[in-house]
Parts: sequence; C-alpha cells; structure tokens
Amino acid sequence: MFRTFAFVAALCAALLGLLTGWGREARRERAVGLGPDRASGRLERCVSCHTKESEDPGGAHARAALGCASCHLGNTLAFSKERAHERLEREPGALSTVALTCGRPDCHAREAARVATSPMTRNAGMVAVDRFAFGESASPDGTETMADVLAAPRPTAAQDHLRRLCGGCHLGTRRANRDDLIHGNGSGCSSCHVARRLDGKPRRHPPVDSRVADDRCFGCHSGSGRIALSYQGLVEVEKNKPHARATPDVHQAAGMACIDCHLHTDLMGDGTARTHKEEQVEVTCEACHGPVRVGGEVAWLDVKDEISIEIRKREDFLRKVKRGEGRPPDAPTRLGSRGTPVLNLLRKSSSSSWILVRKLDGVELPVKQTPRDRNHTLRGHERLTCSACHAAWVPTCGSCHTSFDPAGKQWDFAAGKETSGAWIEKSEGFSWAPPLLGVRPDGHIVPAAPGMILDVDATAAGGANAVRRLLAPAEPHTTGKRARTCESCHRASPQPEFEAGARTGFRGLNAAERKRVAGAKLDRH
Amino acid sequence: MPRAGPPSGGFGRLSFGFLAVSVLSGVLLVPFYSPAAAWDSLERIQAGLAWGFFLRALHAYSSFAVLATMVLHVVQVLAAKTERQLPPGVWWRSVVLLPVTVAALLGGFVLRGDAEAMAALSIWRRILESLPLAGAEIARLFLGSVPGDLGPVALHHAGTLTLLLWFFTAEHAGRLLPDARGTTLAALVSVALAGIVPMPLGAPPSASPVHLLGPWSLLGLQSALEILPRWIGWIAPLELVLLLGLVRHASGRARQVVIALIALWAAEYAFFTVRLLLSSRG
Amino acid sequence: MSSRRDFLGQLWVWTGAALAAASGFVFLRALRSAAPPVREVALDAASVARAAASGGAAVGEMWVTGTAEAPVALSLACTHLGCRVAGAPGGFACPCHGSRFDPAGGRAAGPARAALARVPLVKRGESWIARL
Repeated sequence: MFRTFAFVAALCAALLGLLTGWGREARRERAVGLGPDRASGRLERCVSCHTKESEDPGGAHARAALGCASCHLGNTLAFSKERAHERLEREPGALSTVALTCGRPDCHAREAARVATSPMTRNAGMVAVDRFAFGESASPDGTETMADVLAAPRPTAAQDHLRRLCGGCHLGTRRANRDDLIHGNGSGCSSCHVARRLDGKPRRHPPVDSRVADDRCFGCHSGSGRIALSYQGLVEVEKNKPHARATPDVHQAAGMACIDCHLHTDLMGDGTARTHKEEQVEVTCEACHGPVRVGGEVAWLDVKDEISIEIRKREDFLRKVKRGEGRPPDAPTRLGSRGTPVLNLLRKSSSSSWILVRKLDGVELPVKQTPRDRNHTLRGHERLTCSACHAAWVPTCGSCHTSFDPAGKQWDFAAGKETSGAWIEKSEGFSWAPPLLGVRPDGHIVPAAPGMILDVDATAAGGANAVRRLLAPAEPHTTGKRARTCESCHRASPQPEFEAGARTGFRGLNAAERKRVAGAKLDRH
Repeated sequence: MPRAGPPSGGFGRLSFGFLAVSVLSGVLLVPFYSPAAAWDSLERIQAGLAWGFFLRALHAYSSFAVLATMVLHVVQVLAAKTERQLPPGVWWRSVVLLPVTVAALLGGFVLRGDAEAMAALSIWRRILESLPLAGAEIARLFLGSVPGDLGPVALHHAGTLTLLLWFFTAEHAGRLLPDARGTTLAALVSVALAGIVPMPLGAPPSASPVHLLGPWSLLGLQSALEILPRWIGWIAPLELVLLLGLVRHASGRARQVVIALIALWAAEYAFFTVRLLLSSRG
Repeated sequence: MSSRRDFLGQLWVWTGAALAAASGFVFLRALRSAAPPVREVALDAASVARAAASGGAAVGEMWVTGTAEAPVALSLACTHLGCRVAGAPGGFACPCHGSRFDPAGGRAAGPARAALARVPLVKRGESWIARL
C-alpha cells in the first residue's frame, strides 16, 4: 500500500484535484461578482453583483459611500439573489420602513420623525374640512389623519370620499398605489427626494438629494386649490382638460422653484402636528421682501433652528468664512414666523441689497424690498396682507356637484384596488378672477376662495344630501408685480355671502365691511 | 508474540493518517464556523471564502475516509485472525473507536445546519431519549437541552469526540502521531477527492424537501427505522460493538459463531442501505 | 506491613471511586434539571389570517387552518422522530422515514404511531401565542 506506485498515483490524483479545485475557485469568484464586496468598509455583497454605473444614485448617497442596504435593506451577507433580496425595500423612504432606511439613527432620524407630523403625511386639515363639508362633524378642525381614514374599518361617506379621491397623494401610500398624477414617485421621503426618471433611460437609479424640483410637488398640489397650475399660469378650462394661459406667478417667471420660498419646516414639518396647511407654512412674503415684522431678522450665529445649526457646523463655518466662501457669523438672516431662517436669502456684504439664490441652479436674484411709499401706507388698508392685493387671480368654477354612484367602480386607495362605488365630480364654468377677500380670526384680510361650494349627494353612500357654501382662506400663488386694481375691490359687485368659513373663525366680509369697501372714494389718489 | 508486519494491509495506518488530515482541516474551519448561524456560515465558507469549499470538502472526505479505512481494517484483522495481538482492554477501547467515529461523523453532518442536518439532530435526540433509565439525560449530555441548538454538538464534535478518537487510536497504534507515509498518502487522497468531487451546500434549514437522506454511513439505520421501532437506533450499534468485542475472547467454534453473527449484521445493514437508496430513487 | 499498604492502596481506590460516583450523581442531577422550558412562539395575526383564508398553510413550525378568529394549529414535527413534515397530496408526509398523516393530522401510514399534535393558540395583542 505504501509502495512508490501508490505514492505516484496519489500524487497525480492530488494534482488533478488541485487543478480542478483551482478552476472551481475561479468560477466561484466570478459567480460572487467582480466588484468589491464592501461599501464604506463594511461587508456588503450587494455591490458584488450591482456593479453597473446606472445602479448608482451618486451624490451624497453614492453606492461607494452607503452601499445598497443602508437604504434598500435586504440581507447583505447572502450569496444567492433570493436570500440577498429577503426583506428588500424597493421603495426606501416609505413611511412603513422609514425608521430602518432614511430615518435610521445615524442618518435622518430627526427628519423622519418630523415628517410624521407634516401635513403631507397627516392630511388632517383635508380630512377635517371634508368631514365638515359632508356634515359629519361640527367643526372644520380635527386630528383625524389620512392614515386613520385609510384604516377605518367601516368608512363613513366622507371617509370613503377621501379614500377614493385623496388617499393617492398621502405620503404613506406606496408607489404602486399612488395617484396617476404622481405615478413614478415613491412614497414617504422619496415622494420628494427621489427624482423621477424623466430622461427616459431605462432602469437608471434616480439621484436622491435635497434639490427637490417642482415636478415632484406639482402632481399633488394641482388638485383642489390648483396652486401648482396657477403658479405656472395655467387654468383648467374643463375638468382635467387642457389649460388656458393666464399670468403666471412673478416668482415662477423669475425661475423660482417651490423650495426657493418654502422652508424645510413648511414641507417636512417641525415635530408639531398642525391641522391646516396655512398653520404649517412658516415663510412669509415679508421674510424676503420686508418690512421685517413677523419672524424677525437676526445674526446668522444667533439662528436657533437645529437643522440650520447643523448646516453651519457641517460647512465648517468659520474656516469657510475665512476663505470668503460662507456667510459671516454676523450676517443678517431673515426668519420665518417660527424662527426658521430663509437659508438662500443673503445680503451682499458689498451693498445693502438682498439676493435670493435659486436652490436648483444657484442663480442669484435681486430681492426687492417693499418701499414705504403711498401704495403701501394707504389708510384703511392696515389689515390687508401682501397677497390680499398682490394675488392677481384665482381659478373659479361656476358649479360643483359631487355625488356617489354605487353601481360605478373606482380605485380605492385604502384597498389598493378598484372596488364598487364611485364618486362623481361634475363642475362647470371654469374661469379665473381676482380672489375674494376673507377675514382671519386675527383680523387680517386675506385672499379667499369658495373652499367648498358643492352639492354633495352622498345619500347612496349613507351620507347626507347637502349644499355647502364655505369660504376658505387661499394663497393662490399668482403673485403679480403690480397689485390688483382699486376697482377690482371697490367697484366690483358685492362679494357673495357664505354659509360659513372652512376654518374656525374665518369669515367673509361682513355687512359693515362690504359697505365700507363699496363706498370708498377712489379719487383721493 | 512477535509482530509479523502490518496485520491489516496498512488500512489502520492510513486511517490514522486520515484522522490527522481531518483534525487539521477541521481546525482550519473553526474560525469561519458559527453554531448559532450554522447554515449561513457554511454558505459563507462555501461561496464567500477563497478556497473555502475546498477546505470543507477536505475535512468531509478525510473524515469519511477515517471510517471507511477503519471498516476495511476491521475486515482484514478479522480475516487474518490477528485480534489477539492486542491486550483485551486495548481491544475493547479500539472497538469503541467505531461508534465514536460514527458519532463524530454524525456530529459533522448535523453541524451543516441544513434541512437534513436539523432532521438528523431531531432523530438523534429522539433515539437517545429512547435509551432505558436515563434516556432524556443522555440525550441532553450529547445534544444539550435546547432543541435545535448546535452549540453542544459542535463542542463534542471538536472536543470530546476528537480527543477520544485520538487517544484510542494512539493507544491502539502504540504511537502518539501517525507515520509520515500514512499521513502523506491520506493527505494526497483527500486533496484529490476534495478537488475533484464537489461537496454541495444543503438546502436551507427553512426548506421542506420531500425526501431527506441521513449521513451515508447511517442510511441503513434510517431505512430500518421506517419499519422497526426506534430503539433499533441504539440496539443495532450496541449489538455490533458487543460482537466485535467478544471476538477477542472467543476461539475456535465460538469465534466462528461470532464472526457469522457479525457477517449477518453487516448483510442486514447492507440490505437496509440498498433498500433506502432504491426507494428514494424511485 | 504489606496488609497495611494494601489497605491504604485500597483506601485510595475506594475514595476515588466514591468521588467518581458522587460526581456522576451530581452530573446526572444537573442533566435531569436541564429540561427545556416550555417555548412560546408568537404568530403574526395577519399571517395566521392569510393561512386560514387559504384553507391551511405553514406558519413557522406550525400548520394553521380554521378561521382568522378561531385558528387551529398543528405541530409540523413528525410524531415518530421529530422531522418537519411537509404538505403532500392528501395530508402531510415525513421526509425522513415516510410517515403519512391525513389533512386533519391523523396518522395514516408509516412508522409514526400518533397523530400530529394540536397546538393551543391564545390571542395576545396582534399575535397568536403558541405554547410548544
């Protein structure tokens, strides 16, 4: 057994074994992937297979820095596709898993927690007003959220209405179940922070960043108040049909995006749950254009907003200032009504003029300050907000009828499928006109629009049959450089009367106010 | 009594050599194996580690060869009637080497942590529990008290059983280490097998396959358990050990009877093995 | 003299034997007390409801049938030697030794002697708790 022959034979067999093993080892290496199997120093085998350039979101979320699993979860240590894709999140940022993805403790935990209080997540104002209009609640305020509505075991007529017509924009609704208007947008964080694939290139990982372009806002915000359409100067001429051209907002004409005005607290929330949109929005016209009164103006170093403080730190504030790249600690900084700074509003150190930096392309725009001239100090107009005069128009419709057809079929965003029953909206006489005026509980006069003038025939859904005429505060997003004419208020036919305000304490002009408006003499100026 | 050359045609030496290769390759696998995540660590060894599959196959095939050469060695010893070269105590301990080797192999099989391994673990426990008097305690001694826990199995496999194997083998061979030729030949054969014959990864523990096969050396037992009560699981091995032990004490006619019983046992075992292979093929 | 040496030698041996017996006894006691505790396994109510609605499906190591409100769970451990049985035409089959069970878990063929064990389920919050 231990003769030379046996030795030679065994040696040959062993060499053959080593050769075969070598081949198998080479095949193994190819099968596991060509790329590195680690991202940012951590073992993550996703990047062994996902090596294509088109699978990299780039930027701050580049694959080389974060790998895949930081956002997409899954099993990073597995070798087979099936096991690697266990518990995969195809839609990172979706609210159901956000605490594991974008909102993980070492990334955007604070932002994710704030988003839970954002009106875009809660839609509490929408729910409250809808239930009020349907006669299901006594006040247009409430804390019921869209998530509650979507989970209601036995939906009321208003809840069903919301589920079918509004649930598709709710931030918690997953991509596959979203409204057609925003098809392709993810849910949760990725609703806004993931760019849609507009370049038509197939299967390219979209970039993930904070430069939120308008197309990600417009899908949802073109309904109801139509602000996305109005901002661009578009008017619906027939329901969901081609648009007529009106004058676009002066800010849009200057190339400004939604995020150039709206603060992060306006959009993502600030940790406090509020019911109505206008309670959430912190930015004011005066923050940029002055005169400074609501939020105030402080030195950059005295800004209290946590996120801005972090930006200050991250930009290595002082070092950059020394190189002349950042703003000095004493740079005047304008704030929104709750103290969040308008970060892209700067005062040139060389002059005293303010400039606004467009966030998407970095273009600098001069920001005109409100002059203290005759037009802005008119006696009797102290209670008017900027937009009461500068909002040029609002879209209007002559009639609006909502009914329920039990025989119809319509998508139900709660069920994620088409179910029997359909809400039918009929409206006619689309046009545009200078906005009505309303009075806020604090006495300020603001633009207003019929916030739900409708015949609701919800009898077939177990609801009421009612005609509602509610007046709602509106920021039409149709700002003009020139204010509306004096005649558009003082020589117009008297404003119609409304049953109630779509907000507690909000009302139209009362008889005395209407009389004063109509009786004003215009020849004084 | 003078020793007249190797009484076994060298299978004994070779077996010791394979044991050495098996222990060495086993030690090399230790840093990559985790009993708490057995299947996952095996998957990593198999696919994620450079030459990991080779190392694992080397360990498996050298261990298989320990048993195979040991059985051939026993056959040759019985054929050459050289059992009396060992004192009775050493003989009995050498006979016990056989079940210890099988237990070590079964441990290795179970440590794979795949669907077959977890089934084997459960069967092993139930068979031990069917031992009289202290069945449950003996089961816990070898397998721990938590069902599905591979920790105790791993420690016995790499510790207790390996120590026993080495002690008894060394005592049997009269030397602490295997000889150079035996080890080299064993290593060459193991390398050849490990490179040429792949050792695939089993189904994940969550899978529910229609048929499961135990370790190759225990297929006869698996088949027997389909029709015989579960205590056959310990009666059959005990029977073989007693018969082999008795060979040393019997002579003449008695020895012939014992050898015939051993042959009968082997024939039955072969029958059951073939029966299982045929049935699961069909 | 020699008898005294013998006696001392014996003393060593018997003391050692007594120690060995005592440690054996202690070890046996330890093993006896190491009985595994009753395990509680939580089954997600949604998966239980899905399994019940589909007329029976495996949830973890159990087979769940019945209704979402009153589910019935069968242990999938074969009553022969504990392998996990798999759903098969006409009930369940054990992959190890070929035992067969009918859809209700009753013994149909093979070496198993008893029916699949029924596991009591208790509702606790959003989960069903099985005691194994």
